[in-house]
Amino acid sequence: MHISEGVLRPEILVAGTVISLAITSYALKKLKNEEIPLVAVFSALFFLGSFIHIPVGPTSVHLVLNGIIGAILGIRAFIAIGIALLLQGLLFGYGGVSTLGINTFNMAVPALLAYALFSLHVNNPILKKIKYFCVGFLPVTLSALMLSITLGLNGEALIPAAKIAFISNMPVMFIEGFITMFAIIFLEKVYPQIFKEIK
Amino acid sequence: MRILLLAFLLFNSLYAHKLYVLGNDDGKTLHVKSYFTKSSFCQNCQVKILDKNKHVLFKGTTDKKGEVDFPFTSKNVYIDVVASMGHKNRVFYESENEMIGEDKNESYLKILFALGIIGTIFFILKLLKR
Repeated sequence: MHISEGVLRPEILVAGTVISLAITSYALKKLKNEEIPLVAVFSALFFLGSFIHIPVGPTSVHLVLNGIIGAILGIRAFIAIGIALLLQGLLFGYGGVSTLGINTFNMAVPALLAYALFSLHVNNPILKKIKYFCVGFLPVTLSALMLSITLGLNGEALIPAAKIAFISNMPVMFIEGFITMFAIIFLEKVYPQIFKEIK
Repeated sequence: MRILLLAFLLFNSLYAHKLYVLGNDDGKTLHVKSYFTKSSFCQNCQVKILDKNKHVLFKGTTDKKGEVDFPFTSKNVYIDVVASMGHKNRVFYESENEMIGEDKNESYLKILFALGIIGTIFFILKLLKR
């Protein structure tokens, strides 16, 4: 889901950078000293997620994990995702420095949706599991949609690429839905405090 | 004699506008060079790399020397070059090289290095927030 260098129009790059910088600055201001280790762990998790490839048919997809990161970190997900994307761009050529802003925006805004979803109060155990699935499923869907819109905004030449980007990420949406659901259920059993560390 | 001269000029003109396409690779990058004659390079020409099923893999434009590079992702590709005035040529390129991926050990080292940097960044942040 990384947009490479030299693909997007400058105005989109600038807009993405300005918005991401503004939200990340706000998140840094809100970040408390005791929250930093948790944000660091999730930044490392997001970084590593891109290297876990799952074969799907003739191709393979990688994990995004912005749902669970957003559910636990809230707006601080911008810091975790931004730093991980910067290192992926610098060391592995996934994305790039000029596209860091727009890539962060496309990955971290859906993480806020995950936070909002996770905050919804649900009592029914089955509905709770569906909610956890959606915490993983919907952010990836939104990220893929935002990625496709970003590519589509660059003109008709990138519209086929935008469609492919969305379709190829469809298996990830379901995979992440299940992974997030099981991860949250597991964390609730072994370390429920994690969901209260970020307020 | 006139006919001979005209035929020579026509032949010469056709020869001068024949578009040559050359490809070579090192297992990582596919280098494409395109030219009309040894001294006339195909500048700013549109180059497409297509897979066996003729699906476009990459697009690019040649430089002043008629050259352009693409990532080497397949051993068998079509190289499609379109110049101005409708001159075009398509060649099938078959590589003898195996694709060279990044060394796995190097990748693991980079991942460890990145995790170290993430730790360092947040450690500095923690010091600043104190």
